[in-house]
Order: sequence, then C-alpha cells, then structure tokens
Amino acid sequence: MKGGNYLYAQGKRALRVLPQMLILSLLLLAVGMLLGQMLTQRSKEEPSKKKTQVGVVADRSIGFVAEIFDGLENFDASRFALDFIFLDEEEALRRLRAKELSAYVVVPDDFVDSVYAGQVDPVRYVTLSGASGTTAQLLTEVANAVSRVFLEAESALVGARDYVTEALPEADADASDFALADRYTALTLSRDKFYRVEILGYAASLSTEGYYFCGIGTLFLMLWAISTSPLFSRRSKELCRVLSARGLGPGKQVVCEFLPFLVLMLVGLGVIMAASGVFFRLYGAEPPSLEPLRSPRAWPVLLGQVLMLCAMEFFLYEVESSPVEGILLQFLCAVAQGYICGCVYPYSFFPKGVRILGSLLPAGLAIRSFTGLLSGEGGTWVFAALYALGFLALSVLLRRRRSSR
Amino acid sequence: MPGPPVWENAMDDRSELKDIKKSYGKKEVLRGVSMPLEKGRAIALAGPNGSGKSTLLRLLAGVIPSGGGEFWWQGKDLLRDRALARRAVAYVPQGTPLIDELTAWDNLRLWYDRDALERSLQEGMLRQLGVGDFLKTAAGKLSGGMRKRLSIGCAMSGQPEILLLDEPTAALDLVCKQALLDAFALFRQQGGLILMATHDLLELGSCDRVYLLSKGALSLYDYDGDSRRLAQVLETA
Repeated sequence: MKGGNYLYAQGKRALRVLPQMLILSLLLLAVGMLLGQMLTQRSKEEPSKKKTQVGVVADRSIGFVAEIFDGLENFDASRFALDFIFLDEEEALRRLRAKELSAYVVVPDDFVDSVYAGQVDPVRYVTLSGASGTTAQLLTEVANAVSRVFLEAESALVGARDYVTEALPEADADASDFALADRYTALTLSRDKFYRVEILGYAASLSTEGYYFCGIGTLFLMLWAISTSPLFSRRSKELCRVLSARGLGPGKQVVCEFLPFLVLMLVGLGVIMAASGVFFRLYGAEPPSLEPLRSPRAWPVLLGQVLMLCAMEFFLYEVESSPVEGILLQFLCAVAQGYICGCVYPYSFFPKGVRILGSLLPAGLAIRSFTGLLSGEGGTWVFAALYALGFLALSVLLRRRRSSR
Repeated sequence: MPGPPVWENAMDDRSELKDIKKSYGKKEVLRGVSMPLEKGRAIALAGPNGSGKSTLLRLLAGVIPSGGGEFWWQGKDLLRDRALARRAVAYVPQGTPLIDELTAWDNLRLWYDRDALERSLQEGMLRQLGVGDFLKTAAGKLSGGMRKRLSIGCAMSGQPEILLLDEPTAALDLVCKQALLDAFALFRQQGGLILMATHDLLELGSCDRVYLLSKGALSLYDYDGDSRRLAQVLETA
C-alpha cells in the first residue's frame, strides 16, 4: 500500500467538498459582513449609543476631580468609549433605574478632608448589573481605578502639604493645597502614564477595527471547519483498519488526510479574503490596514496559525466525527475559545486567571499573533507549530487506539 | 470434510494457527486458538456474538497486535514477518472499507496500479466479481451487494493467498450471496485459503470445515447442514 495513493484519494475527496464548503463559507461571510455593515451604520447614526454612560456624583469645583474623570474618559484602551456625566445622586439613581446609566460613582464631598484626616470615606460605585457580565466587570475596574487614582493623588497631596506647612509656614495652606492638587493631576495623570498603569488593551497600538478584524478572523477560522464536516463524517473506520493491515499505519493515515484538509482550508481562505476585498470595495467601507501582512516575514506566522487551527479542528473531528456531535464539538470549542481568548471581547476584560488560560489556548495564541502582526509588534510561528504537532500526535494516538479495538 | 493435519507435514510447508492468544485488559478474548490451514480450503468460524471471531480475523490481518501464538503459512510465521503477511493476507471487515465520495474506479485505484487493475477487470477476480459494471458510480450510491463485491475486489489487489472475511454476505440477497460464493470458489481453485467468520447457513455449507469459537476457545464442529442442531449448539456455547 502506497501512501501516495491514499493521499491522492483524500485530495480527490477534498476537491469534492470544496464547492459546497465555499458556498457555505461565502454565505456566512456575506451574512457576517451585512451584519457588520448594519452595526457600523447604526453606530454612525446613533453616536450617543456608542458610549457606556457612567454617572459621577462629585463636587466638580475641586479641579482635580474633573481632571481625573477626563483622564478616565480617555482611558479607551478597553475599546469601549466611556462617557462620564456629572450629576447629583438623586438624578443618578433615577437614570440608573431607567437604565440610562450603566453605573454611577459617588465621590464624597469631604473625601479630600477625610483622607487628610487619616480616615477612609470610600468612593462608592453603584450599579444594577451586579458583578457578572463584561460591562459590570469593566465598570468595577473603572471604580477600582477611580479609587486608586484618588487615594494615590491624595497621598501625594497630603505629603506635599505637610512639606509646604513645615518649609513655608507663612504660606496659605488651603490655597497651596488646591494649587498642588491642580498641578498634581495636570502633571502626573497624563494619558501615557494612565495607559501604563492600567493595561486594558489587547494590543494598545491597534485600532478597534483592526482588533476586531483579528478577533472575528480567528473565530471564523475556527467555525469554518464546520463546513468541512462531510470530509470527516463519512470516513470509514473499517477503511482505517484495512489500511493498517496493509501497512499504512495511523501516522501515515493522519498525514495523508490532514494535508488535503490544510490545502482545502488555505484555498478557501484565499477565496474568502478575495471576496472580502471585493465587499469592502463595493460598499466603500474601509478595511483595516493589512499592509503588515504583506511582508514576507508575516507569512510564516500566518501560516503557522492556520496550521495550528487546522490541526486542532482535525483533532476534534478525530475525537468525534459523526455529523451532529462532530459539528457540535467544533462549534462549542470555537465559541468557548473565542470568548475566553478575546475574539468577542478583548480578553483584558477577564480576570487574570482566565487571561492566562486564554493566552495559552490556540485561539489566544492566534489572535495575539494576528494583532501583533497588524500592530507591527510581530508574532511567532514556533508555538503554533508545536501546537499543530501536538494535535496531530494526539490524532495519531486516537486513531491507533480506535483501530486496535 | 477435514483434511489431514498440516502440521504433520514438512516444516517448509507448515501452515497452521498455533496457540493464538489475545486479551483486552484482564479479559481473555482468545485462549490459545489452534487450527490447521491448507491451500484451497474454506474454513468457517461460527460462534455466538462476542465470542472473538472478529478479533481473531483482525489479529491475523495485522490490524491488532496478538497476545502470543503463531500464524504459519507455507513455512513462514506471518505474525512475525509482517511484510510477507501484507502481501499474502487480505482482510475484508464486516463493514465496507470504501471511500463513499469516490467512484468504484477511484476506490480500486487506491489499491491497484493501473495496469494490474485493467488486467484484473478483463480476466481476473474483479471480472468474476462483476465490478466492471459500476466503475463510474460513487461507492456511496452502490447497493449493499455491489459495495461488498467492491470491498472484496479491493482486498484482492495484492493477489493474496489467504482471504479473511468477516460475515461477507450478511444482509445480502440470495443472488448476491451466490455470486460472492462463486467468486470465493474460484479463489480456492487457484489455491487460496478462505477463513470466514459467519452465521450464514449458505456460507457454512460452502466451507470445508466449521469451527466453533466459544469463550475464546476453538473446537471443530461437524456441520451436516442441520441448522437446528447448530442453533442449539450456539445457544449453549
């Protein structure tokens, strides 16, 4: 038994699946793009809905309070534009209940004095949505940031005031207090400093469109395997046994089946990218700049990610290849990984443990490489290749185990 | 009728199964199976479900590793000489080892080179099996009988001397069954050995010897066409 014959036969199978896979993929792509177009259009028409509204109950006459919230408003590495609205607590509560606000933050009137007196009168964060959900997590993070910024600012101010009182007893302590506060917030709370302190972005130098292009692209690559299910659901286990008996063991079988699948995915990917280009041109939409992807140095990284995701999908079909269960497994793995790894929301929204897990999963590795390439930070193919080898090795083990039963 | 025991012949022609064992974990599936083998014979393996018939065939085909024993054919132990075994032994499992999306021709091309395939279609076993009638049809669209004939045709590609068949005519109509049995008869006339796991009375009747496999142990059964007696034996096995 020659491996070449089996490879050729599998290539023929893949060719037969190609048209239906492309039709399904193009349909999905068209629906996705229409959806994207509608969402973009809607957000253009309703600019106010773009922002998460957060109320602020605070004395705005204290200069640094306003500056701190201006700073937070520019805190947009999270890809959500936050809108801080100053209002009194009664109004804030009314708007929160009417769901016009996502939350509100109360900075007590005597906050500065209480800190100065060594007491803790905490900044309150009020929301309806509880601790679950990404928006709630974001808002909790914002509340934490507000608390930290206030407390750190106050620590600095109290220290400075003590120094002024001791060094310049003739100076007006209250006047210098406010002047110090203004200067502190103006000098210390610059945006750059802010970004370094609270890292919310996945790739800080990448635009929102660029980030979501990478995220949705990764998710699409994972979900796309569903369209190739006919290639796997009709595999004959008896054929695997006979092939083994004739000298074509599980290792060679897996290689001969995986290669056409990989080529099929690459061909399909090329067609879909071309179709996307046509779509962007037809609708006059501006795609994110893909210039960095044209560099030859980007190709191994890109190919590595596609190889890894294809190997993962192949392995999942090896685990379960029946039409219903196999598709369900692919779908669940794609959606779960997509969610944790930041294809749907930037993964910086999640707790640290989930972030670490997400960055180690194949989808996390892929999206990090894609965003790295687009933002010019570069990416790696080595881990992706290792992952691919691991998935293929597991597939061989599964095949061997199944054939020997 | 059982022939003279082959293991009494000269060692060069030694053909037999000797003390074949197989276990899955602690469960012993085959407990020292031995039987003589001879060219031109057809041997049936009968036994209740789960008695180890399919396991024995898979083991002899090299699909699964054995837990010990010898498989001698013409003086060579095929369990150790796997290269020779791949050439000498053909295995047809109960299901059909075909690629459904491809035509019968493409499925055959997986196993045959072009010249050998055309030769066999004109004058060889493939002609006898009648595979030439549906070469351009996708395997997935063939009837059960056609698929089985195609599977056997694929297995015969290396001109094997031993054909291992797992319930070859199960769920086929009488015409298909008879066509396959005729093909097997031709294979035996050419000196081939057939070892088949079966419950089918027609198949049992076409074999020279019938062995009963029960709880991993093999015993010779004198099948005289009395299906009622066989059923009683199988029930108590």
